[in-house]
Amino acid sequence: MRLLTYSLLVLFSLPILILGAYLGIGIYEGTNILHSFIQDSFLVALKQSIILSSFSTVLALMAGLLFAKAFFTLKHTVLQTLYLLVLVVLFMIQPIMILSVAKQVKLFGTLNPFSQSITIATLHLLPLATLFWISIYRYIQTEALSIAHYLSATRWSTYWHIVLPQIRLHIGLAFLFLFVLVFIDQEVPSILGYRTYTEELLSQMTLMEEMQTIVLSALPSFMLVGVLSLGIILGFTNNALSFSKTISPYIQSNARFGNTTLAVLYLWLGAMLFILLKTSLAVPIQTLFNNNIEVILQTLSLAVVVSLCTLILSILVQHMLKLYTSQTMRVIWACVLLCYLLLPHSLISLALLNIYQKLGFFSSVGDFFIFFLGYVFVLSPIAFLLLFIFAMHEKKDYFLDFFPVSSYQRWLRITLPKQWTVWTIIFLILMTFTLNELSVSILLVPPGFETMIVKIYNLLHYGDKANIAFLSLLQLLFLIGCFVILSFLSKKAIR
Amino acid sequence: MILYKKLKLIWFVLILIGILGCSKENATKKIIIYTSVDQVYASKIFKDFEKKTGIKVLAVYDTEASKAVGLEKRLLMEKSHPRADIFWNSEPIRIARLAKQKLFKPYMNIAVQNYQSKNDYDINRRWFGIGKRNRVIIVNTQLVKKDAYPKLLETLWSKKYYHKVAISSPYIGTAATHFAALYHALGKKKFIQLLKKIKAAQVTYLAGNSVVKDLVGEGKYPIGLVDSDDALAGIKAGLPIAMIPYNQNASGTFTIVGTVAQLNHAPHPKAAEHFMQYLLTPETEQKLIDLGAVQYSVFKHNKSKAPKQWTESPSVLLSDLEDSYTLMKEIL
Amino acid sequence: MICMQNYQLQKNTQFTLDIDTLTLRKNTKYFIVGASGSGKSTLIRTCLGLDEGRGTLFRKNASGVKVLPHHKSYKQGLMYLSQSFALWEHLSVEQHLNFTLSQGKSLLLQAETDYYLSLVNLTLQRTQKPHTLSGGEQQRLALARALASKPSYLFLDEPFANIDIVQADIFMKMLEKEHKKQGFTLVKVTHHFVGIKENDSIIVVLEEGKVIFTGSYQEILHKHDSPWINQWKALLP
Repeated sequence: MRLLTYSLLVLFSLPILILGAYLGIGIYEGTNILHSFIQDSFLVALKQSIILSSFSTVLALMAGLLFAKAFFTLKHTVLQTLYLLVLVVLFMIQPIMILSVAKQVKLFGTLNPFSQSITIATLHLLPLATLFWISIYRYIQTEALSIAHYLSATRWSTYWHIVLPQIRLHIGLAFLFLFVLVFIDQEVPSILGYRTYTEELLSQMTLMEEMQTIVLSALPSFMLVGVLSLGIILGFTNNALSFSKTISPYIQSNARFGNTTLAVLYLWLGAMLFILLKTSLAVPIQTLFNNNIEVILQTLSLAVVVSLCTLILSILVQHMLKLYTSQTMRVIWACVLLCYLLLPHSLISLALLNIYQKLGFFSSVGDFFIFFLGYVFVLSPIAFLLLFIFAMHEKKDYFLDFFPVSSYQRWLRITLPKQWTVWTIIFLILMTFTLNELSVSILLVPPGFETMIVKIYNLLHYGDKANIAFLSLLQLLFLIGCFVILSFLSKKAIR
Repeated sequence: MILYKKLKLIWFVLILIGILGCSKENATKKIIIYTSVDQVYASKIFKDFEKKTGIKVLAVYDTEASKAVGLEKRLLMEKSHPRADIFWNSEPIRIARLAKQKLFKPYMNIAVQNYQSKNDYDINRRWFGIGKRNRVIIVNTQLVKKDAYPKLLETLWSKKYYHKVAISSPYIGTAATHFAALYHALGKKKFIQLLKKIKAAQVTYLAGNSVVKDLVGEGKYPIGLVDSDDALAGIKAGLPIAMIPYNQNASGTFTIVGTVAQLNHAPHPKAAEHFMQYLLTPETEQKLIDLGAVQYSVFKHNKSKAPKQWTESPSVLLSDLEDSYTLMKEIL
Repeated sequence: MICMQNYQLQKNTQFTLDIDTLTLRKNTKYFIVGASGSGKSTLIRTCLGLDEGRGTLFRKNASGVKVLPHHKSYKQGLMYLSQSFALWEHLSVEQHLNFTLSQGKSLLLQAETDYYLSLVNLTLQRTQKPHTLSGGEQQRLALARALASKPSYLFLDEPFANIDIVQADIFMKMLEKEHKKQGFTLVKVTHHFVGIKENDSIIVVLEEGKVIFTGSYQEILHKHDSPWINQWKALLP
């Protein structure tokens, strides 16, 4: 089993290893490749990306702090659940959908491309930033704060000397994570006319013949991954990522603030739904269905298959990692997953295409398999992260460690019923990420197959508002449906 | 337990959706087409072809995002084991480049004497043109008065229009083709002068022609340089833009021809032949013109409808492409 | 028998478990006491094979063969009841015991289920799920499950930490009953004095990772050279 585990890890790491190998070759081959980096266009694009990512991350974190504050003022658990629900749904809406709605309502007016890009990026990150703050504030030790209060420490003093030292690593990691999410996004800024590093990188790719030059031009992405990996390793080393369940009483505020914010969030979601519905109805429903039924079915079937397989694979690998590997191996595995999470998905797809070409076993089955693998690689880190987060809440079951029951009986009577709800929740979340994945669906799509998000992207250039709105609406309603189920099940999962 | 049963039912339904979605017709008659022609137009042509021949078309489309890696790379990667039967491209240089690498099979079942220009097909019969569009200037009618419309390409780089012009990246797509053609027409010295003027004019480079069209339509830039199909799509969508074909000089407006080729060792060669036969006809070309994908015909009988145009043989432009690219990298 | 000799386990830079010799014999009751942070939980986790150090640690099986901790059969017959019981939320009280008594093969009523339910006084709650039970009831269920597994060695880590003294006494009486009936070795980490005065109990005192005393209650009353033990004795009821 140990050999199987290590083999699986190596196979899973193959695209990363290939990219790494080409990177090594590229660096070894010399400076004339690096010359392309110091071209004005590349440097300008890199600078623009860093500015865009930094501004939108800082804005999202600042606004997210206020929204998180509002969350803690809510008294009833029902309201808190609704709050978390709307945050998760809003985060799952891809920037391209926000953009299509923004264009409908002419939100931007005379704003320049930079401001528009920041607005979209911030709106996209805001729900996630809020969720980060909510989970970060749970970490604060309430006893220390109570003592500070009894000693009549000022709010600022308490924050600076007690709160901040406890959470600075968490804030740092949250900043890095959000920063990279914006940095690797390229579609929306490109539509708005704001040139980014990722777009410049992709432009360079079309002009480069050799894989090593393409991979080398993605060096800043690797560096970012490296920095974040280091941050995560430090986090594990310091045990800084072990969130406690204690709700912080630190944030004392009027409940009206929380209720108002909750209402604003639902208004935002409701407004999006209304605009999309109104725009869709410009064309008869029957026509919309006829035009789109095939892509809807294809997309949903893809999402189901990919999410199911990713979930099963992640569960199996998690189980094997627990039993058969060392802590060092687990950290290496975490870094590999981080690469899949944070490198441009187009680069990962390119590596897969490269493997496919080298193997040469082309066929319809091969096409679908490589397409499927692309999704599995980019979804796996999310599945692992969620399994890890849910596992943190679980108590260690020592009884089963010692009680001699067969693995089959253990799975059938204990593990499966216990984890069923959690696995269903993770499955639903993976489905939403599959529906919103653009890069893999473009680069690895088999002939004749189409996904909703690609169709939205293509139609956006032709101003086909009704079909765009209809597809966006369907996707949004599906997400909302998923998360109604999710919130119902989540109470059972995290008791 | 009731919840448990409900959850099992949900799983069952989802898996059923998965199976239904995955099951495809076992199409024995099918063809795989890689195309960079916009999906909005190409899909209609494919539907028509399917209706007429009963051959199922499995298409792979290009997009703004993937033009970077895109179909050309995919075709090159698959050279030893082609997956596609047909490559239908929206411009000629990429296809000429691939033809040079012997990716395509000569197609003989066509009367080349019906073509207006020898630049519109490969002399070795490896690729053929179908439909043309022009490079055109577009202006935002709310920002630019009619009497101030630029009429010549050269005027775009004049002081009057500094910081006001947007074009798609000159290193890729039809813009690259256009600049390669300009290099060929002007010669190295004059081309360098042109590039210096463009640099001085602080022109904005955007991701693609459709982005230029959208932003000019939104008023972010008063003037743009795009293909005629993008301009017409914008006008059709109600954007406040006007299209100006700059055919006032001796040569006319630069023209880009759409191209199609059949792959060597294609998996469905007979279906590929049927498609070539279907596409390379004036009737099908007229459909493309009616859809707005192209504006002018490559065939002789439609000649009278086109304005004065100029183009170069893509095979000639191949080396010009590299030379112009190098100069643009240095100067722009 | 579980035997530990010259065993060291370094937890961090400040603490090392350092055992010269410790033997846990069959059918004996052990009470492991000591100051907070003296290594009590670490000791029993090591005996269970959950933490690994350096030195000699083995178990003798029924045939007298030495079995080392990394061997699969080392854990056979061991049972550990930690402070977090990890009950199964989807199973009822009765089903917990049915599962255990049937070796995981069934959730249907088993012959001894009623016995264990009455042992821990949970007969009336048999169809209830764990989240509806009180803390004490959950603890009793966890104990019943552990006993129903018929262990040879039962390790309890501060089983009285969350319950009152009266409940603790009831709990201890249940353990005593089963200990006499099944004949397992009971190893209990505790701060409570409940049951500690019994003649057949062995007290093991840990101080800074070392065993400073192993013996009966009577013997510890005569030990004077450890300040902690002296203070502990002074607090005995």
